[in-house]
Amino acid sequence: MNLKLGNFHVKDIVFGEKTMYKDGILTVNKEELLSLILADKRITKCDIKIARPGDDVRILPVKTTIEPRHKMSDGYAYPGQVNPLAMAGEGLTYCLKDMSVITVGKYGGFSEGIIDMCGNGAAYSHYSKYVNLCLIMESTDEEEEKSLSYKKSLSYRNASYKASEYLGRTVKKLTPDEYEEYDFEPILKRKELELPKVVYVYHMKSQAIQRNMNTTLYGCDADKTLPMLISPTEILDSALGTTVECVAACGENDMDYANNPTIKRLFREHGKTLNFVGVILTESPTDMLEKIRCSKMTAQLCKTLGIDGAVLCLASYSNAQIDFIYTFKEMEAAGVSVVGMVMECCGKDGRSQPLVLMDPKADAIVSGGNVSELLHLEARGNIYGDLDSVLRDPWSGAWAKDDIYGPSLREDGSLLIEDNCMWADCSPIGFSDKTVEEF
Amino acid sequence: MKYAIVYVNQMFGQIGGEDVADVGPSLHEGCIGPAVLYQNFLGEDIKVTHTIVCGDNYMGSNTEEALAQIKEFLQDKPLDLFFAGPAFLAGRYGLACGSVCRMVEESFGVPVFTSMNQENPGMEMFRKEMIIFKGGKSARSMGENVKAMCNYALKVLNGEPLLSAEKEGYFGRGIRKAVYHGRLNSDRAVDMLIAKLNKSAFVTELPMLTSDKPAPAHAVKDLKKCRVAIVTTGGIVPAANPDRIQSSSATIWGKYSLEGMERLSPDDFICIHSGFDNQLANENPNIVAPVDAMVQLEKNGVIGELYPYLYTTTGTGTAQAAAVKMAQGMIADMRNHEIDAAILTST
Repeated sequence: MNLKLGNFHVKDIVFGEKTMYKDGILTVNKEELLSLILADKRITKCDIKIARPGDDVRILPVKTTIEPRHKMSDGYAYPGQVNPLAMAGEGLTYCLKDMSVITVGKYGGFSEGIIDMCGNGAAYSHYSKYVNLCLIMESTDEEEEKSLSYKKSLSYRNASYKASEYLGRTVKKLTPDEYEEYDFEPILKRKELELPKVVYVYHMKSQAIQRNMNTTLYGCDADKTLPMLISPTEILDSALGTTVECVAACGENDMDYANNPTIKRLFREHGKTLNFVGVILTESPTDMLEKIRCSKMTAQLCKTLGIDGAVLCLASYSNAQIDFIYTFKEMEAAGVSVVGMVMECCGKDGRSQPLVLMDPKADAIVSGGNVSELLHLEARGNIYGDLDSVLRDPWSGAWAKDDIYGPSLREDGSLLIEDNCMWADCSPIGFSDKTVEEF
Repeated sequence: MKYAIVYVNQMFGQIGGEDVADVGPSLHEGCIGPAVLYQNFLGEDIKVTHTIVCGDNYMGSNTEEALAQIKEFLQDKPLDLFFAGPAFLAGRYGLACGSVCRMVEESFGVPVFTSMNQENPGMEMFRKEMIIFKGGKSARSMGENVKAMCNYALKVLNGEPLLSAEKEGYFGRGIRKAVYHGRLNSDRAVDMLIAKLNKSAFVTELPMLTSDKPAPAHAVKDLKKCRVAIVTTGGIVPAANPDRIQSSSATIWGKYSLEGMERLSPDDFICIHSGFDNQLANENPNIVAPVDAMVQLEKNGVIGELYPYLYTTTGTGTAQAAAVKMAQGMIADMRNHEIDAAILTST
């Protein structure tokens, strides 16, 4: 399987008469994009704003982030999500890099997040480094949005895909700045490599019993799956879709999935230090028996394939850490050398047990940060979204009152929150260089 | 000018050896013994004004009196830094350094530093509370051990960035903090995997410590006579969530009346827990907080009495320390209401 990504590096986004891309500048016809979004009658209001690195802007509550793409060969940019089903992972896909389309709502909840474009808050999301096109919306799902801590945000997600396809189309007749090529040779046709056989194992989120909440693979709900092997090029070509079943800091959204830096690094090592055999997708169910089944079947799959090593990525924290530790142990028992990627939850003071389940067999871990670390973010002059949401809504990592700390939203507009709120900040997918050390 | 005071035992305070270990605390102007070294390493901008000397046995057997006397000594002295030791392998000296540093930090709020060998029993006893530098086994390490403390103390006073325990050379206090490594997590993971596959050395970023396991409570003697409470971490709260209990990372717990209820009505109670899909719990909150079943058990005489209040919070992403604090609050309240047993439901 050969995947070629044609990259266009977006230096700036401006509004103008014609939506087009030229020399690093993406011009957007605001009215045209607005009418496209408002064609969905569930969207009652939409404003579009641009947030550049260094701008005095705080964006919240962030619902989705996505990279505009266009599939040049057969298939679709986001197959099985909003597009019809087609297989991803082969051919040519154009990508608008260094930017994202962000959907922003009014009400925050479990999985909504914050992105600051400047100041001390800008250290806490890799999205602060991109030029972001923000779709600030309200929807007819208002009752659902107001009342629930889990919001499916279907209309927002739909709008993000539509806007991204619309912007992706602007480059379809142009020549990319550069190409990234990922060649994944069929594993049974490889000439015998005397190198350790390695897989990347990813826990999709699947705690929800309702549809449209868990991670999706080609639109299929993760909880309908069992551990499986797929090509890493499929992940880089948008086979995985956003979950709303995970806090913001864990960073599970389309753009992160499709740019997985650990998969890219494994590709770079392929043929040199290791033989990259593929990605095992497993899930993280709530039922204990299912957790055991998934961890054992993942190990069994490694055994069947003769896998020597694996990077195991914890998708989220709390009960998903049980899946992580079980899978780690089962794989080690099956003779696989495992390195785990996690985020920790050590409390505001860093003194709490980092994972709900600890085991000495999990002896090789890379940490992505402490989701419950206390942050005091300076006030920002411009709010894209609704700042009052922090006090009003059931955020993960923000609070209306606290005997020690007082409310998360201070009188001067600054925020005292947990890292939990910061969009993709502690993601174990590997975008950050953050770790945790003992003091 | 900033001011420092140093604590040493009778031996390093030049009073004498084991034979005078019973001597009580004394305050001396200027530097005695190791205090001279502290003064050298701290430089001209910091003055070591006093040395406090106390016998190890006196401190061990009259701890409260000794600490009270030392507190009295310090009451009117300008103080910016406090040092004790180094205690090396000396067990009683290590415990004395820990006790004095704890008192000084609590009473005067100034940074305190000590140094012990890793096998000194004082190290395990006090490491979570204060910065204890990794010291040598004997006074041969005096110079380097004092220097390490002084260098760090100067960084603290000057507001310089402080590195992790490992990098600074002290025993970790169990405080885990985010830092930036300089190399992406994705690269570190693959590097570590290559090292592990090649059986080369690597260092995990999260050492797996064993969990604290609380001892189980005594068994209930006669359930038929018990007043039983329902406690849940399943996030079941009255519909308006009046105490604004968080949907994750909770720090607040609530107590809500069940008076006259046969079961929790979905009109009056909701589930705010965001660690699971709470659709079913919202349709029937009793599946998480089983008021319906407990009322039946009360009617059937299986339990003496159902305490007519629900204790509740959210158990997802909740830090262990926050959970312990909430539990302590609930337990105190239960004791006030003579509750004999509780069932704790999670999700």
